[in-house]
Amino acid sequence: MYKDFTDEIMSYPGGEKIMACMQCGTCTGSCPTSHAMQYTPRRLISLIRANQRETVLKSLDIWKCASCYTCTARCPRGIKFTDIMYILKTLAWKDQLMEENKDITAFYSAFQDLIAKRGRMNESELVLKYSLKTNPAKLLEFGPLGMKMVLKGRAAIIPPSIRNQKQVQKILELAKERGGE
Amino acid sequence: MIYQYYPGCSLHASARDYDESVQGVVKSLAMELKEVPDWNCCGATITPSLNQLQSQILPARNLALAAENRGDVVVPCNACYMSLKKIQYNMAKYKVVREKVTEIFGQAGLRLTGMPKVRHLLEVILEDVGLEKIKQMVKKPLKDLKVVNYSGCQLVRPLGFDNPEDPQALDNLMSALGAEVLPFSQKTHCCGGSLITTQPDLAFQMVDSILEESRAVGADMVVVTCPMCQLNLDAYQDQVNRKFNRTLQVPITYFTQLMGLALGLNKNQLGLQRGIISPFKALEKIG
Repeated sequence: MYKDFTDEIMSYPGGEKIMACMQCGTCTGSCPTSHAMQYTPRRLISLIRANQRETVLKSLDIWKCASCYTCTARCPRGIKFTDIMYILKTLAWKDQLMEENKDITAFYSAFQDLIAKRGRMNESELVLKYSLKTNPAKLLEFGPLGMKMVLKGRAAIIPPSIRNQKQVQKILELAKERGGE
Repeated sequence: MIYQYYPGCSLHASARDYDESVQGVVKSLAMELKEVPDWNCCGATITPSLNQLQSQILPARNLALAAENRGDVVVPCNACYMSLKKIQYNMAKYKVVREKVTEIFGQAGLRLTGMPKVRHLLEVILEDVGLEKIKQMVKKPLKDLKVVNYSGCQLVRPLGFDNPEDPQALDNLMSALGAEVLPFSQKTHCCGGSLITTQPDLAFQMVDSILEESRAVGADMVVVTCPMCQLNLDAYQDQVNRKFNRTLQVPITYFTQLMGLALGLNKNQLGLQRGIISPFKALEKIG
């Protein structure tokens, strides 16, 4: 078991340097979505090191990371904060600690289910699944754009598939059985 | 030269125009692309948010399939490029990742027999063909066309081949094709692609600042290297306009589409008619 939350984060690839943070705030200053966060990247590191596991994993702020890697590229101490955001999201997902947000839960699980089902992504089916899981009225919102994409020949009418779908399913299941770690 | 092509999911659907222009351009450059057999989705930004090991194993399978054949893996999508490079980096750096991937592969009949080099298409064109040769091949210079080059995030960070803050590759290529490259402070600012469906308020603001600067500097179009950036900036432009009370109509063009035009390929071969914001009016400048 882990000594504390910092220890837990450090056990994952990309999380090991968190103790090097000197709270300079370059990450927060570089982040394109920190303006919308209560807990910004710098504050999240502080909260992790203060062992505030539940506060951090509950917060929807971690789902605002756009994976742009600007914080990672700029951190003067070599901390891979984008990777830490991924670690936090996977823990929140696994322990079902995140604050309820139907849009996020539905979209992420629809995407993941489609990979398991077909091996490849297609936006048409993704949007359909996502809308049905959240609010079917969303289909009306996506409708005009969807129509344009169809007319421009940019929507997959026949869902893509791969030959060895069983293999993709198997490796995903085995990874899940191992707790994703 | 022979390469292995990992198109990624978008290029078979929403980015068919990118795929069409890639096929046209590589033929002109005498590059041979062979699709990685039976490749799967790389997981993009979603799988790594849900399950660490699944996010390693998905791109790793693609590398295992590619390792069976000869040639570098060429990737046109920034997100796929980064996912594939990241699993390589993690397998090289972390013994635990190597061991787990190998163990799961063993049970699923997969084997990683080598580590193919993963490269973005832009990188391959610049390094293996080179600007000098490209300049000589230009039949129809993109004269008078004013562009801003938008590299986006994952082409250059964290494992990219160009400067992560001020990349030069796309600027150099567009200049070589005869276009006028305008200064653009947003060239590596994130477009919010991964947030557009679930948190549009956040993403729309990011799209808007990119489009608005392209207008302010007087660009005819934004040049991109990634299907996610293209979709975000092109297909959502109307909604972003409505939200911020603007009337922007900025075409978002793949670098391969412009390259194809400069190399003398027919407009219709390059998927240019598929832009939600049509580029044809802006392209009248080059005739």
